[in-house]
Amino acid sequence: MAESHTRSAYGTARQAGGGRRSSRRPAALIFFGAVVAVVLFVWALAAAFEYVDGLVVADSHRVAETGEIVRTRFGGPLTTAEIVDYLPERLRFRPVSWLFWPLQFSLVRDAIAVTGLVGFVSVFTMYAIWWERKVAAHIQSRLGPMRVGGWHGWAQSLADKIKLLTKEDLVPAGADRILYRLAPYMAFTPVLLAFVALPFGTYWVLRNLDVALLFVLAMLGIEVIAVIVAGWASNNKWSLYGGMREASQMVAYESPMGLALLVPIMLAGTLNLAAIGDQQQAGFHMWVVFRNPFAAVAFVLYFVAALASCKRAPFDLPEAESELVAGFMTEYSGFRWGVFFFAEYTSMFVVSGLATTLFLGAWYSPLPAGWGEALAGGGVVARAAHGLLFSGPLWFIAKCVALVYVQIWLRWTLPRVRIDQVLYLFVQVLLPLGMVVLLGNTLWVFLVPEDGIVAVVANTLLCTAGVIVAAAFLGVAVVARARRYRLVGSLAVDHLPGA
Amino acid sequence: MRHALRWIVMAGVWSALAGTAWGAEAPVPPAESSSTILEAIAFYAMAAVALLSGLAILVSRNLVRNVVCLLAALGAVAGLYFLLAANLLGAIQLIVYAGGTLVLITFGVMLTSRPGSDRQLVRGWERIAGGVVCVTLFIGLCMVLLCTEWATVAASAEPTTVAAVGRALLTDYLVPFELASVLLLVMLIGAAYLVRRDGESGAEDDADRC
Repeated sequence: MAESHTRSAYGTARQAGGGRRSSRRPAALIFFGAVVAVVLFVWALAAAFEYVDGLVVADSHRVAETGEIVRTRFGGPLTTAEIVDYLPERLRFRPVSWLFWPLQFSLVRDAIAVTGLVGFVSVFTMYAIWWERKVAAHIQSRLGPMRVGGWHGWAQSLADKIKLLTKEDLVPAGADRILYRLAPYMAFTPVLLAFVALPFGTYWVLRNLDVALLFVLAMLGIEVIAVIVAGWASNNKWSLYGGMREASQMVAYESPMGLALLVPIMLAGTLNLAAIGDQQQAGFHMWVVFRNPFAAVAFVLYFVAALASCKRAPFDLPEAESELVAGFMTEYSGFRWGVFFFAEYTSMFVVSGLATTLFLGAWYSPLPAGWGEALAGGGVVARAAHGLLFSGPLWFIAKCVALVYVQIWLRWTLPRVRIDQVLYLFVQVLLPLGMVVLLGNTLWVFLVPEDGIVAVVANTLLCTAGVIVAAAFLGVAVVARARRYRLVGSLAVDHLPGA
Repeated sequence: MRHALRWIVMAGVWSALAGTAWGAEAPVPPAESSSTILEAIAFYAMAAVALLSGLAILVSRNLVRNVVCLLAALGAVAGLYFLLAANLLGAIQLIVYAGGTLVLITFGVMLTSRPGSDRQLVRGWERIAGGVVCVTLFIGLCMVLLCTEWATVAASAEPTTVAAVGRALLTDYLVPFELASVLLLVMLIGAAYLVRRDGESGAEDDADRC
């Protein structure tokens, strides 16, 4: 009976939805068109930066050769007239030089880059939240947000943000007003600052610090203080419990995380993230995770600790909706509450970025970058192809987003552990494991020659295992998709709008 | 036990304050690049933040606010280190003090303070001891400030100092380095011994508390 009822609902919904289908398609097109447009715009901006760099260098050479003018640095800033001189014949107009002139100053460049980063982080966070809701819904055989915007509720987060902005900003009686108001910004600022040192590509980094890894880790550590302060300042027992749990959890997970991160540092011999990334360009078998068995274990170790550092399930003890209401942010509302979520999803991207840079080949595709050298120096189309096939920020973002997906997936798959189990896991299981991994890696580096037969055999075995696991995963996913009707019964029929 | 923790907290705050004062007196690098004004602005801004938040630590009697002010002070001093091209020192300052020590202090405060007792109770002889330390520190800092001939050579910003520091630690300064690690190990074991109660396992205790 229920079956037939579902059938009839299915039929009518299909008929009713048929008329809307045409209006849904443009929304999807706009969505993906906007993404492509943003990517093209950023590429164009980067090309403009590079072009102006070329002009400045060329001008400094000219000044050095002819000795026309003695200037302090790079021959001083170029004037618009000089830029017009350097432009190719077809583009020799004043307005074009006005476009390029500001780009030679590092302050302007930083302003543009920071604006871009904040924009990227905001959009990423918005869609990560939407994505999390969709993934959670599909894992639980629901559809999730479907209404706002038309195509799979793509504008849901936008609507939520507007709602959050218009909500009242409450401060509970007896709270420490200053610290209560300050805490969300204390959470968000360090995470955003981590992007200063996080490279999206060999040259796509705001500041190429020689201590980039330490800097990013420090920023992730400071975020914890904000959670503790928020919990303390709220004058709420649930909040205080959340803050205390975060403090004890942080004491536990930092040590195994540091030990796991020592492995790629040891293999690379530097703390500079851009340099570590560049060492992995010769194809996926040179990714740190495939270099030796201990590095593979270190990757898993790091990822588990990173889950705890982002307060993600199964280690979301500070939040623990079913135990502590909402943990450290129980009392928060409106914009400040949203800022905490911004911080959480941004830090998910940051820890995924660290994992990508240190273990998973950074911004290089699985193909050896050497194959694409001919494309790298070619025209616009060739360089775009190089960016898509071999290396570039798109690869970095894709890998990070994949790891963020794994975090979301784990959150909706694993049950939350107790706080004593968290402490036990990190201090008594993962910390000794980290020491074993560190020692094993040290011995491996010293005893096994880089190109010896053992290294080749181990590399081959690990790579083969990785490929088989990936293929098996893909196969299971395909089979599961083909059989989803049988897996979850009548719940997974596509009779609801947008399915 | 609570007494000892209070001393640890106080010692941490005071030594961090001393570090703040020490770091803040670093001279502005005589920059010849075009961004001299920006560097000067950054220097004075961060020095002001460090000094003001140091002052706020003294004035405020609320420990959690003190911790937040300390975070600002440590961050500002780390910024000064970055400004002086001492990247490693700045990053370590952030990771060890701002990220690690501060959380431990806060943790201690949260675990030990009862309702209404989150204000520091200072006894008479502690005032005297603190005064002696303060006066000594002040005189010492003034002497350093007045007696040093400030070098005006250009800051030699080496491209990478991490490798140099690491090499120095494991060659020339190996014995002090190892001694420091042994000291830390002794402290760890001592702390574990102090907090241990007979006939009780730690895990269950934690489960009760949280």
